[in-house]
Amino acid sequence: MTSLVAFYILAGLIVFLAVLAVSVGNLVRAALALAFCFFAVAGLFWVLGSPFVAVLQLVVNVGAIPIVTIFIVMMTRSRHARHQLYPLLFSIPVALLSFFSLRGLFQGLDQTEGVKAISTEHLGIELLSIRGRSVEASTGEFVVNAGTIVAFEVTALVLLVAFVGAIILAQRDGFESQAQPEVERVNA
Amino acid sequence: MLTLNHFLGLSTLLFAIGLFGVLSRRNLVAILMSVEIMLNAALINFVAVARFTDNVQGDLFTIFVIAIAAAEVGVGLAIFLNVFKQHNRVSLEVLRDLRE
Repeated sequence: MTSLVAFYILAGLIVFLAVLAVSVGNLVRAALALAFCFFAVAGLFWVLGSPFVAVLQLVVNVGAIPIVTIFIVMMTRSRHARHQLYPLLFSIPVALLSFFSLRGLFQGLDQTEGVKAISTEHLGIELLSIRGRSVEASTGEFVVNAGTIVAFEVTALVLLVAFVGAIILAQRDGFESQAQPEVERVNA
Repeated sequence: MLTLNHFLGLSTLLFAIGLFGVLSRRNLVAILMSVEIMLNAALINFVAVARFTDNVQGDLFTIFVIAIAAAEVGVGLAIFLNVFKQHNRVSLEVLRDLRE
């Protein structure tokens, strides 16, 4: 019952803040609404019983991404964003999708399945174990887990490649801004 | 009682809001923020299904998605800076070179 109340409070917050983030004209305010929306999503992960993902969400999605977004807003001087000419036309399929999702939400009310929480230790062991090397505490035997440390390394590699690409992209000058000073220098 | 359908419905609604943002915004930064909302809808789906089926792989993919989101914002910042250097604003209208 408590988790149901928490779910509805968090879901209301998430939807309200997400609507705010996609509709507010001032992009700094939109980024702030986005940060609080992600904060509520982290709370939802906590309600679901996966504190590891909740903390990860807090660190990356609540902490890093809105700050980088605000940096983009400041560096590109795009504080005020207008909507396109025909938002009504585009919103028809979105409204249909929203309607069907709401129908699914209220259909789920009469079903009787509970949330099964996984303990933090169990989750940490499962996520960080190397295949076939972890020991079952109760029996003392080696058990073959779906080892996922390789997946962590792949994730790290993806991040590394992406940020090297980002640095190379950001260092490249645009052709117009590069060409302009050269012409002035030649004329001088 | 809290069921899987609650979370699926919420994530669909969140995805719809993000899709609306992508379709109706004109500024590239705002579109990137809407894509972030859509990614979070996917995250809610992953974690909810992982919990209700008692499976850890959903959490694993959540970590992947969060890392990809961080990488996407970083690369997006670089691309938007380049667009801003060339066109002096970050809008969808200046990115029509390929269409013409």
